[in-house]
Amino acid sequence: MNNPYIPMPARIEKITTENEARDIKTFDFSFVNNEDKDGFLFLPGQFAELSLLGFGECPIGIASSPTEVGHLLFTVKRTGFVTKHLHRAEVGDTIGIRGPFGNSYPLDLMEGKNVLIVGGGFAFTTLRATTMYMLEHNNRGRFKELTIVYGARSPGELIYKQELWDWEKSTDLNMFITVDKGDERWKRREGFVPTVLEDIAPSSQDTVALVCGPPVMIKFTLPVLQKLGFPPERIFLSLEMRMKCGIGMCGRCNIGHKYVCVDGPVFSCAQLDELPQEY
Amino acid sequence: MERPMSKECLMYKEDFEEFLARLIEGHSIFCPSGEDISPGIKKVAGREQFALHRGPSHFSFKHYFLPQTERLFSFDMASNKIDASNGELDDNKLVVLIGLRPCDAMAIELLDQVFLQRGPEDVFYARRRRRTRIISFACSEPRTTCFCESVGCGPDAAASADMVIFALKDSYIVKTITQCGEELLNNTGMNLDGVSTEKLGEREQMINESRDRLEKVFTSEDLNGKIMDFEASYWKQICQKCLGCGICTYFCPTCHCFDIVDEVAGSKGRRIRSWDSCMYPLFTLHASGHNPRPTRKERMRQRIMHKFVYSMEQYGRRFCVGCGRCVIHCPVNLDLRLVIKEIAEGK
Ligand SMILES: Cc1cc2nc3c(=O)[nH]c(=O)nc-3n(C[C@H](O)[C@H](O)[C@H](O)COP(=O)(O)OP(=O)(O)OC[C@H]3O[C@@H](n4cnc5c(N)ncnc54)[C@H](O)[C@@H]3O)c2cc1C
Ligand code: SF4
Ligand code: SF4
Ligand code: FES
Repeated sequence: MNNPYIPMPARIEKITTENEARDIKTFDFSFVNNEDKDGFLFLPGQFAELSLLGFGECPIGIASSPTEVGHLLFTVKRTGFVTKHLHRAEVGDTIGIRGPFGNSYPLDLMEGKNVLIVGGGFAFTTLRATTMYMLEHNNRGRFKELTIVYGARSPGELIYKQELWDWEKSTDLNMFITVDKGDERWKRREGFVPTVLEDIAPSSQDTVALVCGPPVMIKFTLPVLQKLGFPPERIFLSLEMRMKCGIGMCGRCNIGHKYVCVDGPVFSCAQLDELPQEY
Repeated sequence: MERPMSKECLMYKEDFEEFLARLIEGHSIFCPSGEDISPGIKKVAGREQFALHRGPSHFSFKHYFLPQTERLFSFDMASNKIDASNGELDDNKLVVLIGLRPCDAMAIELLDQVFLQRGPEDVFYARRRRRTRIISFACSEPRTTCFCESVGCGPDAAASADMVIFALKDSYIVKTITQCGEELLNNTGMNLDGVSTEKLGEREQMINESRDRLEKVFTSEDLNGKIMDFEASYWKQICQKCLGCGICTYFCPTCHCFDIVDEVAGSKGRRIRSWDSCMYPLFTLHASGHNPRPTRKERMRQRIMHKFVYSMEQYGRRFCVGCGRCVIHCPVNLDLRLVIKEIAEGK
């Protein structure tokens, strides 16, 4: 019996604490069974349900790219019940994974175009996956210029720090890192992501924009993109909803007639304009 | 799903008794229990246990296909072992549901859309559905709360039935709808006559009388075109007296939303799914505290628009069969029919 609710066992290989507040951790998993590993085919933007037997499940975006062979990353903020217990897990522990679920960022549309990534806080996870995917040397040529604007509240809250500094130095992409408020040691940009975006003013010509961040960042970023000339069809957002099944059955995550777990989580602004504003 | 196979024959009272007896002998039969305790259906072990009820039964047959709580699997936290075996589902013996009204049968067709047709099948639902045959009874005595006709169902609707029985004054017309229904009838080995024009006339009269009795608070025309507006101001009024108890969704034969939780005792536990309701604030509450449907207004709008608007875009069907259960059981008499009427009148 093919029971879609059974999680696949996966071992925690590595845990990285991402921020100063120590409430965001990245877990690197490996599947216990080879057939699960081989069957877990995904694209950047998709998510999975992480399962702790006895505690429950939570939907988490896949933070690694399928091109990072041997790694399966999830970056999880300690928020409530399940995530609290996940944060107590240690290297070597086995938890469960169900997925991959949902759609991905529009790789087909992005191909041959410039890509602008705008991210804020710990919601950068699937955008990291997308970045890693595009930077992979076999893939890099498929996309034109790559620009990333990423920010967090404070220097300590930036995630994937080492990668950010590496990307800043790289000639493969234009990296803009900002924090709302720096400290004495902070030598880089200060300012909210939307403001920084407005200053940099990347061209909307032949460019696809991917946006993920806290609601307030999204609220102020969209008008900036609009002003830069991005049509709603070329702005993509990744949405969050409370979820249970992840497969369009439990009826929980709808926005109008769309289920975020199967029709999303990635939607273009044009698609969202057609839906009720209820998210 | 399968070739339609419509054939009609007549049963007199004795034939019908014999038919029931043979059916009970050879199959697992379930009918409405007539009680108001969940699941509201019972196994029929003997003829005397089967009785027809007026209009739709207390509970719908959703309980059979989507039990109020269902174990997805058991686990042992100490060893990380999962046990998904399920004897009930592995049992492929034919089950016959008998005594549903056409509305409840049609509701199963709608649940099929969700659990079988939209994407990958739900194994739990699929197993039960595939081993099930449905014998519905046309409605001769609708309740005052019934409005099946207004939503495209009706006292003689045959949706998802394998066999429809029309109970006339002193006889029964048995109409097989599918090949499965045909086989079911053949397997009883009954030798039956065709239906005389006189009996057909009697049936027509019965169904017409049923139709006349149905209250037309709103009509199917009221559901044409753009019938509801997400932004409209009426949602605020409609939800005023709603308590948010969720009874309407629990009784509804087409409501199918569920929650998934873990139940633990010691190191052993099970992951279960249980009915949930869009009328509850927790249904959509994010871990961050944000809630896209923070008040009863948004939740009422969701319930009604899902049934009458979103489902049209998802499945091309309205997810209401007009059984009236939400009207009957709402503790504050929030009458869906009046709501639709008011909306249709553009209030
Ligand atoms: C597509 C998508 C991608 C996401 N990606 C990320 C990501 O990359 N990183 C990230 O950090 N977050 C992400 N989130 C958000 C994340 O899913 C939530 O933060 C998470 O679900 C919170 O779960 P929680 O149990 O900690 O919170 P809670 O609010 O405590 O509970 C949420 C669920 O946990 C269960 N639960 C709670 N209490 C109990 C209890 N007492 N007993 C049993 N079960 C209980 C329930 O099933 C409940 O529905 C994403 C969400 C979505 C929809
Ligand atoms: S919405 Fe009310 S009348 Fe319609 S099917 Fe559900 S319970 Fe019956
Ligand atoms: S049964 Fe009535 S009071 Fe209860 S949630 Fe439904 S509409 Fe509201
Ligand atoms: S999470 Fe169950 S329908 Fe989307």
